[in-house]
Amino acid sequence: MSQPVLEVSDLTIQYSTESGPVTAVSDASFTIDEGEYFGLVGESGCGKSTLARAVIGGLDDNGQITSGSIRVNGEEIQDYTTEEMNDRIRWKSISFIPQSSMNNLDPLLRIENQAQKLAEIHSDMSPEEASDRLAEMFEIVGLSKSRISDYPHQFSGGMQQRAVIAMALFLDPDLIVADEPTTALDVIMQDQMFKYLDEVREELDTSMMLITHDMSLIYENCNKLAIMHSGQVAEYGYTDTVLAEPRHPYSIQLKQAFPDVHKPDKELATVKGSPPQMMGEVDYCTFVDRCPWATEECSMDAPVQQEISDDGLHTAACFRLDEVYQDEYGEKQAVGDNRSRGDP
Amino acid sequence: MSSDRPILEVENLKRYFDQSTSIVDTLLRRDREQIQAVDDVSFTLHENESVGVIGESGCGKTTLLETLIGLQSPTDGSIRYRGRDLSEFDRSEWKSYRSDVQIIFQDPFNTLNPKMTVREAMEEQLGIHDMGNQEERIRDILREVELNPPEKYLDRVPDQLSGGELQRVAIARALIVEPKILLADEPVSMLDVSTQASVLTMLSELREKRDLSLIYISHDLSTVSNVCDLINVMYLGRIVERSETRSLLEDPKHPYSQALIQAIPSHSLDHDRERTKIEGSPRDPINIGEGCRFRDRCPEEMDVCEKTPRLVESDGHEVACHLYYDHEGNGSGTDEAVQEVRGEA
Repeated sequence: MSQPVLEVSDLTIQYSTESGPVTAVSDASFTIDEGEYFGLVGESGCGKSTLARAVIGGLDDNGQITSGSIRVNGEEIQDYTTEEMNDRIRWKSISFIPQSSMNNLDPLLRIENQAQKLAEIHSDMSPEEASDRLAEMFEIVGLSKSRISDYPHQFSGGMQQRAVIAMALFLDPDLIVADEPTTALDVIMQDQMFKYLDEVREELDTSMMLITHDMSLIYENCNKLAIMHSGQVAEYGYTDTVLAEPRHPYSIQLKQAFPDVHKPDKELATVKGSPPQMMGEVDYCTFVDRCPWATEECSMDAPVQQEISDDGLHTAACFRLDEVYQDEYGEKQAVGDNRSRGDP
Repeated sequence: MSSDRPILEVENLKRYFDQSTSIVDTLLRRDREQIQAVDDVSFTLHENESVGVIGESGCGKTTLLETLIGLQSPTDGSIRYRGRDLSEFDRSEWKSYRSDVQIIFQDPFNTLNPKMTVREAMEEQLGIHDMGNQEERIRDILREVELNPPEKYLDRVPDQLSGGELQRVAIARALIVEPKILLADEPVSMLDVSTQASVLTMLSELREKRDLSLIYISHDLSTVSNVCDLINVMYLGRIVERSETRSLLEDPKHPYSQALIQAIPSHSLDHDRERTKIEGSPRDPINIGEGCRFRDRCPEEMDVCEKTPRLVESDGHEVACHLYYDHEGNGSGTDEAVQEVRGEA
């Protein structure tokens, strides 16, 4: 296989605060391959946005990568300066679709001029080439070519959203990091947007890191996913496998807590308690206070990712995986035939 | 559900807003533009019933709620509480209406006074509605919303509570005056999934235990369907379909309801769906005029859609769509076209 587009290994990120360092992400690892759509799901405050920001080198001033590495196309970027990030990574290798992205276009500039500015800083395209390129991208996201010279306010919310996607695709990045790109949209608009992303996926080989709290979006759109809680990656693997038979206690509870529109009678499970304040070093499982399976062992050491399938493509970080499996899935054998369980 | 007289009846309710106009417009005596936020909405709420209103942002659902509680006065139409019209209420009737009808808002982080402790927030509410025996009531209600033990929470200020806890306090504050009707405006949309589930479950339990009627407003069909018996689908100020929850989800009639349900992502492994076929976004509800409001995006659009459809009965649903009734007596001459389309479908 070719080299992964993004490789995050054992990444720990801390924020310094008045009351000492807070560990927002601890020992997170995952890879995203070419053309792959990768989902990152978890509750608010679990560190998913911090991770996204670290990947584009946009951590807040008090945030710092304390250990681990981020490799983009094989190149380690965690120590890059802002200039190096601008020069080599941003927009060209990795572009970013932020939350409520409608507010991220410059209201005083025509969209065309914004693209030309980007081209000037990050590439050697001429302004004319930039306009042509933008027009091409507009077509892909379903906007009329003639509208590249409009101001953002001339677009509706959904069209602005698409313009932002067009800009993200503009310099042909290898990876798009999208942080809750559709939370501000209605379901129909959300679905429209993913319809355009489907087309993007067909036409270009772009990978995507989709950050969301909506498990169904990931299930429908991503090949792989990682589930996070309080800074730790709980479970990682192919979407189908993980959602058919989640193995980490948090993943299990998250799946059961999710209301399903097609099953209005579903009993919703609840995750009791609230996430811990992760001050200083994290040397325990951050789910321990909320986990029904927790034992003493869980607060003594941080669990590492354990392989569930032999190919290492499904891992979970839990000390009690076997007990959890026994309790949840009983005598049933073989992880492979988990499709049959699905939803009863 | 009871078959008695409904506790709340809303009939042909309208709430229009005047667009702000410039002095030039006034001098030139241009017509004022009107935003038709709620247009001709009728429904009833019975005791112990939970009714959902679902629609995209900007469809008028929050305005509807604000009109129900008296924060907005209706432009036209009537709201009757136990048979009495709100517009005929005197001071004391308003006061009792306001304790009988309570509201929970979307954003728990901003609904509570940041400087008041939980106890003070509750006491204020009880004081306004002249209810005694405060200490005991406060402890009971906190236990009921699962803020246990109450002592732990009584002296905290909002800053010291999580989102889920804040929303529980907001619910407790609404319930402490023993209302008959609870209005909920997207009560869980700002909460995490795991917290969301526990608040939803609690809301359903409380409703049963306290014989509450509930109007639940949201854009998220999956949470509405978990809580409500009956769902109204709203589009640009009008109700386009009303039906019992399960039947709406399984067999939506109105093209908009169909699109809405179709567009919801699902995480069921046994559920496959196609992407939405609807293009564009809703219009601005300004001087929007006659006709079906969904017609510009509707895959089934016909000539007759230039006329406003009325809500009619079809298979136990009420639907406002020309596909579902023939137009005899209207002399519109479009019956054949309608039949044809129905035949194809």
